[in-house]
Amino acid sequence: MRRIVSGWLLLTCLGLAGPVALGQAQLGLEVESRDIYAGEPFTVALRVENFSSCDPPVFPDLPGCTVRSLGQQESSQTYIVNGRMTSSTRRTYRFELTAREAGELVIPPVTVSVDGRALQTPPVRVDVQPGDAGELFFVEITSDHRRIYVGQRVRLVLTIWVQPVRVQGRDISSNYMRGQLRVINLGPFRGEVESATERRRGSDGSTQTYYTYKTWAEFVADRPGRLSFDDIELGIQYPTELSRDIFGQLYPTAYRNLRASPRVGEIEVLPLPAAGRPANFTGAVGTFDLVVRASPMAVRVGEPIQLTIEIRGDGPLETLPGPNLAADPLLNNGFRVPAEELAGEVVGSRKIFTQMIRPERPDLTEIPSLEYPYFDPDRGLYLVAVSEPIPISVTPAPTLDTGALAERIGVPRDAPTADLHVLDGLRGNETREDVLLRSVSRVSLEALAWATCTPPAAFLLVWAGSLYMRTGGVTRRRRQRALRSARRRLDQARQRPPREAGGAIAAALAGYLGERFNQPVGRMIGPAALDFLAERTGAPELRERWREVLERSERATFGAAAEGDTDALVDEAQACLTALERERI
Amino acid sequence: MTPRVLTAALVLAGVAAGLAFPLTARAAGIPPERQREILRRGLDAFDEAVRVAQQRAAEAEELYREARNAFAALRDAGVRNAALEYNLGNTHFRLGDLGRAILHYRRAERLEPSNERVRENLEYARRQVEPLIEPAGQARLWRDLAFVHYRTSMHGRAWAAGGLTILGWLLLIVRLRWPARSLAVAGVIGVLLGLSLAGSVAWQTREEGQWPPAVVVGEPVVLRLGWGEGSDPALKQPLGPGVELWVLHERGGWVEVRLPNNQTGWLPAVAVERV
Repeated sequence: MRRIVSGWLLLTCLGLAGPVALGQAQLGLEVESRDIYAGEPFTVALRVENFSSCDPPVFPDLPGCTVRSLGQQESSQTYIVNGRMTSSTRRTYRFELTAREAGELVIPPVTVSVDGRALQTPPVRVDVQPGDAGELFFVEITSDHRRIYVGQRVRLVLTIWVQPVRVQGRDISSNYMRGQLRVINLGPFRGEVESATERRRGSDGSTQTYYTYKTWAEFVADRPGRLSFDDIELGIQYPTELSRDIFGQLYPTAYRNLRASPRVGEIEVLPLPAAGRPANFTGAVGTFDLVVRASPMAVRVGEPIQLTIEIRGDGPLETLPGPNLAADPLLNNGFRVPAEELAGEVVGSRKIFTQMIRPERPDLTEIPSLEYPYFDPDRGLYLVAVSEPIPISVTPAPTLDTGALAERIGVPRDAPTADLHVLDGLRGNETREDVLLRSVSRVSLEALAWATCTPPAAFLLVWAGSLYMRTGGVTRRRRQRALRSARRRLDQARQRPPREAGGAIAAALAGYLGERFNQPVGRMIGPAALDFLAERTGAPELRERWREVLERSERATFGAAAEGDTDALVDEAQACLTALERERI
Repeated sequence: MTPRVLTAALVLAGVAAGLAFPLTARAAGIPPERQREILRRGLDAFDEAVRVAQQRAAEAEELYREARNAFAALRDAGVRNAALEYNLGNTHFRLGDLGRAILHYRRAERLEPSNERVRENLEYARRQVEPLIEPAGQARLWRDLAFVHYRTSMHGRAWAAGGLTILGWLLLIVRLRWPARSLAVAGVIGVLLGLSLAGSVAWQTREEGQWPPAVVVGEPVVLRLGWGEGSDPALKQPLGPGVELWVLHERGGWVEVRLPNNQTGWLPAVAVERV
């Protein structure tokens, strides 16, 4: 195994043309690989430094070696030393070389025009070792068919063969090797990849284990000859040395860049035979059925009939051409058929074409059978799919000239309506003045916005108002809390000394009356409250109880009540409140 | 009914009346008597053209032109209704101008989609168009599903939207006073239907502003892949007068259009007229 140095190894000179001095243009050629094998690409870099202008180089032709440009890179650097600024520009042109044979390869001097001067690299010698890439990695394309026809759809299988790398006496895994593959161009092969392990006899006769990766494509050959896929190319970074990282995962410390184009099996593409080819053959290859539908089936002369032509079969539907209706003599005898090619639509395993035809005569009774000739590759014969004739009804129609209209005027009123339709399919004018002069303005989005936005605002206003009313406003709220407030105050009075409790009870009762009847509390103190009750209630017992409670409260205020009287007085006041609540006032 | 509910109802009725004004009348530019005179002249010319068509075709054509000019004068004066557009379509059809016939039938259909005569003549005229372009399947399905949007006039939908919204909210307001479940359900349904129709109107306005429908008029014209006569044709067959399409955008005297089958391309701006 050969180690690949992590950086690029300078194999050969920086062949400097002319004296090297700061600020003077320089040209060099590097071979950026150490081990070079026949059939494996390696990279050569042509570097130009300290230049103002530089023409693109033309790499010389090398016998026995293919050269491919990989493009160019450019970088600039600026140095400031002791206050002096120096800039340099470097441009690198890379080329990929692949030597076909082992031996010494000489890269001749490369001339580049730099800053108006022709600079030249010295020749470089490269030792090309015999290649074994074809044993390690190769690609094959196979098919079940040895001979196919132009336009025939076949299934091709592309197999990638990779010889597994052995690590410590064991083959490295198939998944790892698959991860090293590089797809450069897979052409039409887009199918799922299936991995397997197979054994195969090598060129030296020994049996070798390979990992295989298979994919497939439906392929339609478009020209006769040997099948080839020169554009397909795959690569692999084939590890030559492996190490394990701290997690135990393998990683390559050296590898070879291998590339392969597919070897295509013996598959010959034949042209379609000229013998027996129908005149209206449009290029369909496969086996097909034809179903035709028409709509409408009752028309007048000149009116369109839509033909829906459905083709089912095993041929390549995407590229399947439609039938050449314009060349169908039966159809063209009585129908006007557009000359343009049909554009079909693939629906599942069918391709559907539509075409409008127009009957030219009223004596037509059917759309004749349509033919769809195709070439059957299995039988090697031209066959014709034929549709069933479709019965139709064609009635005469006048031409749309103004002269025909006069006939309509002459038609008697009692003539059947159908006759009028036959004469002219256009319905008459609107003659009502009010309808014709009525004006409809354009729809105003602003008005519509008003109509849709104002009602919810009105609803919100009404809803808010009703909500306010339901909660009763200040008066109702005051009335609602009158009893609760009075009872709370009476409960608080129980905790007070008898002198204070009497005043608190009288105040609670006055407060109750004031809030219940939405009156100033000051008007409900003492006898005024009794007068008010006399006015508003018809229950003398209640007034009497109220008066009694007020008197006892007054007595308690002046110290004429015992300690236990407060509770009794509060209870009586509560009873008065309850009684008054029951009254409908 | 409480005074508040009554007030709200009056407010909503006022809104309805305010809405009705911009949705209905707009004064035409010429006096009504003069309008009637022009209309009679157009109708008479059309009838006379039909009468003399067989014997004196040139004279009939002249009379059709006179009828067309009369109808067009009314339209230019601000009279806008489906019947007038329909008559204009008929007149253009008689003059052999299939493109403008379809254009006016489309305008009539837009104003009154339920008008049977408009629909029949439009269908009849469409059958003469070459090539016949079938709408894409998806577009057809969508039109069937959203039939209210496509088969009712924008004007009618705007009216219904306003009316249903106001009625729905009115029911909801009444429901505040008499909390009946049926009122709430009817009100909510009314509001939702009204808002849906309002959305439909807004959508159509936006859609027509963005991609106005148009019709090919005049001579058959080649659909091209780019703007300018130097661009490659997009279709082998030229688009004849009457082909219906949508204008996507305009550039340098050319318009990019989309056909009913979703094919796009460019046409000279003078070859199409917006519906």
